[in-house]
Amino acid sequence: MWLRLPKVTIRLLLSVLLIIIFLAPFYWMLLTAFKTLDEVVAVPPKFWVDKLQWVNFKDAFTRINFLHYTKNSIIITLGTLVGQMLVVVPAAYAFARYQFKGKSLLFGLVLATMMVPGQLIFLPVFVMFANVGLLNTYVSLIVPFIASGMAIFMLRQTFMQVPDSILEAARLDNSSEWKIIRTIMLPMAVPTLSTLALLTFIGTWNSYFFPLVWTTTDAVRTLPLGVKKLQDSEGLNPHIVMAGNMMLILPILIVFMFARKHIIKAFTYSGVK
Amino acid sequence: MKQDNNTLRILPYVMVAPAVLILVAFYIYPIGYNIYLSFFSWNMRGPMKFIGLKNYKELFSSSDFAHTLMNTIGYMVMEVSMVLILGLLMALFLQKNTFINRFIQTISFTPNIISLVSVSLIWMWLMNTDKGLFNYILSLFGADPVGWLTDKNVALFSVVLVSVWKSLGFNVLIILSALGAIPPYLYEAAALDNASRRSVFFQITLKMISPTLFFLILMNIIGSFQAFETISVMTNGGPSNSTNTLIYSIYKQGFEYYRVGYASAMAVVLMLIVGLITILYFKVLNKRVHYR
Amino acid sequence: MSSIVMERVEKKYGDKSIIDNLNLSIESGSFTVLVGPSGCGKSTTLRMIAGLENNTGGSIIIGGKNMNGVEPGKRNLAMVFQNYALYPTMTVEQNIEYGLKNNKVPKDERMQLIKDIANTVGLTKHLHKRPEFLSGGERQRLALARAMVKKPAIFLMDEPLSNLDAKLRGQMRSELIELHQRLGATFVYVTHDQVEAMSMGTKIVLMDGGKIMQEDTPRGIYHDPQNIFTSKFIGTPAMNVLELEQCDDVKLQALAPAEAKYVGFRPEKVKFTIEDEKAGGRSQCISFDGMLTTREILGSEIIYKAELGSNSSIAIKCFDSQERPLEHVTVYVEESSLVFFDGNEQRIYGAKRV
Repeated sequence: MWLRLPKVTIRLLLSVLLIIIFLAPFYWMLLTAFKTLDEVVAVPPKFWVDKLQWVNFKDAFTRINFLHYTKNSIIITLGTLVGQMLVVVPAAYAFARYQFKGKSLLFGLVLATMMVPGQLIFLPVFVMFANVGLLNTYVSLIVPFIASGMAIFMLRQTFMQVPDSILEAARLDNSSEWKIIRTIMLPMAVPTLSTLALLTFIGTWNSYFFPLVWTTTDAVRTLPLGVKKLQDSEGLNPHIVMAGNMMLILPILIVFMFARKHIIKAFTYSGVK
Repeated sequence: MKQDNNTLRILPYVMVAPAVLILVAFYIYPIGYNIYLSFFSWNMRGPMKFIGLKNYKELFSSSDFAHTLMNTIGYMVMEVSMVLILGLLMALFLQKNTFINRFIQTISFTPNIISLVSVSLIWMWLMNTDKGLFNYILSLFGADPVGWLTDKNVALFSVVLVSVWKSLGFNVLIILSALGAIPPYLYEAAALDNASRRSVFFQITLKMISPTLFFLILMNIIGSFQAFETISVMTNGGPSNSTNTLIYSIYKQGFEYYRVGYASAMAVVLMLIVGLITILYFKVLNKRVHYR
Repeated sequence: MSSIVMERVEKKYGDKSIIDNLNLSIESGSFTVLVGPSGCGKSTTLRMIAGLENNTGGSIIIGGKNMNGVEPGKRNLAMVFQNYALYPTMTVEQNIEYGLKNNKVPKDERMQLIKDIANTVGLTKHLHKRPEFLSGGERQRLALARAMVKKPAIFLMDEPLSNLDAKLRGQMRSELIELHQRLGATFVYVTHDQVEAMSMGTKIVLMDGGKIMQEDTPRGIYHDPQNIFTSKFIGTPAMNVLELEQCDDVKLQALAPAEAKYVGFRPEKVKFTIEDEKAGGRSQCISFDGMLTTREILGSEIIYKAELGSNSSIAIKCFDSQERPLEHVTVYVEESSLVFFDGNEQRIYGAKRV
């Protein structure tokens, strides 16, 4: 009987299974976040709630200093985004468009850093920060991430793909070098820049490891650490933890909803290079 | 800007300097500094004491380290094989561009863009021994509850499972784009040559995407060596050290026991492993996987 | 005044000399075509005029002013590129406006100029589109508009028609000729296509290996080639050039000047029969025996290839409507159609013109 099932049915069943696998955990989080404690521990569990417990979000908000962590997350994410543009764009442009002594050596160095597994060298960097008194500062969580080998590589490709003739046409149109960069090169690099910005935003907002290992106090710790702290103190109240967790996920999900195609493209690009 | 020669000579260096300096300071220099630290005994406060290779000797005679190394390798093998096999199957399943397939692809990708902390928290709750959804579903089938994160024989698998759930969508995405890049005329030529479905799959599909699969293997191996969030959030390396991997162990030795030199020695070993695998990857890549 | 004079211009990349001692003067208001095989230095010459490449020696004088070291944007010239080089992130309007803006033309005047030029080239409807949404012909016209709107004294064009399909290319050719007549500006046009060169140029500059092979009118360059290179580059099929040693016609040997090594004649000058009514008749002709091996029917003409006994072959262009069988023939060329070249492949004058 089982073997007799037509192919279409098997496909459908598998599709439903996959949808459940990937959506159910999110649904369970959502559901738990709106339950009362009694509903959370009820056996058998309830797969629906009658009354949304918005109070859980308020509780999550007050039991840890949610605003403090959010503020840190926003500062560090924005700082990294802006800093990356300021550092990566000129470097990529110079590597793409200028000839200078030692260029290939320097670019090789940039590429080599893509091969370094960054998480393995957190300890020496921690010691470095400690030695210069940069522990628990925004600088320590922003600066190391504003130069990225991959970003420079991607952007350099983009700048190199601009045909020489377009720049020559601009020179014939009496445009200065700086004006060419501003009015022609940068607009042409906008798709790559926004790809980079999306990847950086997602990566920085979600980052847990470095804000954990390069800080010793809560001063500049970010939201993922805050929510982890919520788990540590409220582990017996899953509804509050899930409410906090939702607030951590929400900004990313909103961005994903609006830029779904773009984000998927960005990740594809970063994966195939 | 005038084509002033002096400006033009210095300008490129000014433009690349910030990026190069940051990369050297935070990627290149720390590698050397890490090796340097591994020759010392130091607790971050007191004076540093040079002890030569003693950290390494202790490392290689420590049963804890051996255990950690085994955990790391076990984690890697499970993670890489599950992600690759499930990823390939799922990509083949989703190959046709239909609405439902695109939908599945999108939702399977979603875990990849949210924080691993969030994912870990959700799964921790699902995997809760007493109140978790998983054990409730098992109980419906009359099965005994499983200590997903509390049983030392299961915990490592559970942690890997979470990581697979998170990264599967990304791998599917990359494999799908590789599948889409296979020129259709190859399939047409094979059809004219009267090839069987089996041989089309092995001779064309698999061979054409093998560079991508190979790349994903490397990425997943390197990623698995750096897996930290799930373990930190879900198990803290327990129960009985069963999920204590190298990277987590480095963190613990450094920040809980303040054994900077010892932790650095571990980091050096892990870096060597990653380096060797990367070199091997490029060696094999140069030799074999070329179909373009 | 928009004449261009190049004096002893040279261009080197490192040790490699691309152009060596080039002397060329382009008259104001001419349509000068630089033509030659790829790598002959024609594009480099154009780009040096534009100032996109610096000449490493000699001087380039435009309108009486030495332009060495003058920025491209300040030379009062415009250029149309092979790939059009349109700014992809700007609309048609912004593309045209860019140069005007950089030259600080007031806004009202800019708008008027853009309106006029868009009208002229027929892009009024497309002013707010980006180049990627234009057809090939429209992009071409935008590139022209962008050049024209600056009202330059000199237009430089680097193979601007090579990206168009054959039909559009023919149409654009006549549009460019009209444009040149209307504007009265100096046009310098680079192409590798001899048909384009012949049909548009008032003067043709044929280049090879960084040197000028011949500077002439289209008529002169075809009928009066100064060397074998020119004779073979211009005309389809190319001029037949044979080594004198391999020809056994006694009369030919007698006709040839002493220093001559090669004889040449155009394919259309080869006849299958002698028109006796013409003065002279057989006595004014030389003859070749050969075997017709191929036949290309092109409509108004037929091109044959004849293998001569001496291991060489000639092309024959024939305007008969009748096809000939591929068989053994004797063909004739009038003496007056022959040209002779010396051992250095240079034309020997003295013998009559082709």
